[in-house]
Amino acid sequence: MPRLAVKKPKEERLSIRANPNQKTVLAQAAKARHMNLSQFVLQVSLSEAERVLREETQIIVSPAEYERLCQIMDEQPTPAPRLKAALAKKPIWDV
Amino acid sequence: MSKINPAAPLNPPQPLTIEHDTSAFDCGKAPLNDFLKLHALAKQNAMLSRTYVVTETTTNGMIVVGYYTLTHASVLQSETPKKLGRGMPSTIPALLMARFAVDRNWQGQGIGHDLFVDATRRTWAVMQSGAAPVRFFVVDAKDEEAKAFYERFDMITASENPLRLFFSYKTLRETFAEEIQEG
Repeated sequence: MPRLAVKKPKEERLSIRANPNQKTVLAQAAKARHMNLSQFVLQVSLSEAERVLREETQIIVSPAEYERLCQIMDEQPTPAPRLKAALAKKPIWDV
Repeated sequence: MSKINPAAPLNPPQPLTIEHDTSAFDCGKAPLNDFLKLHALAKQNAMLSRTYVVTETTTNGMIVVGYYTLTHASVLQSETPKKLGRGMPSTIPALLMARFAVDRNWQGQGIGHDLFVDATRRTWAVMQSGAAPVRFFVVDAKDEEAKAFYERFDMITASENPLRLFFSYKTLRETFAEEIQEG
């Protein structure tokens, strides 16, 4: 398959302030990972950012509640007659 | 303040794009306004959530009058159980209606009702497609008033969080299967 010419998105500059100590620690850590400071800071902060975003979509429940949910998955469904009735209504954007 | 008889027809819910004007959106709750204006599109592009908008077509373009955001969520246990029950999965996949709002000028006309029904129908479509396993449709109500809204559709309240409500896969299957037969 021929490769399409994909335009590389323009990179943007991100500058941050750090005191000398902080910068030394970051530089040492970057060296340990064989990266330059910029690559290291970007990679570490991106993975943390992804973790933060993921957290938002975790629903944490107690083991007892978890077991209840598992039971609900196996049991007969609870009926939702009022949702069913609502389906019959023509939405306002179809009127 | 509500427009009793909107002159312009509304467009059915569609995924948010850059074409949709969110700049004037005001549901009365700043976090919900800010999410739509500042974060919804970026999150959608990053595949973290999908935002569906109802719009009014005006000479200035498509103005958002209401929206909801669906996101994949995993139900996890707060502590690792000593032993998982037989056949119990380690996480339960769900769809969370993370955000849901109608512009103040359009409140009280049933748009919220219709948007909610649309969200459940879309959730059922995902469940049914089998593209991703989804066992529950979950909402976190902001307050008792919002909770009462969801209860009017027979959503079940979580036993440990009175503001969290859900429909199970089976409930939606039963509800929508009958709809298709009747249609």
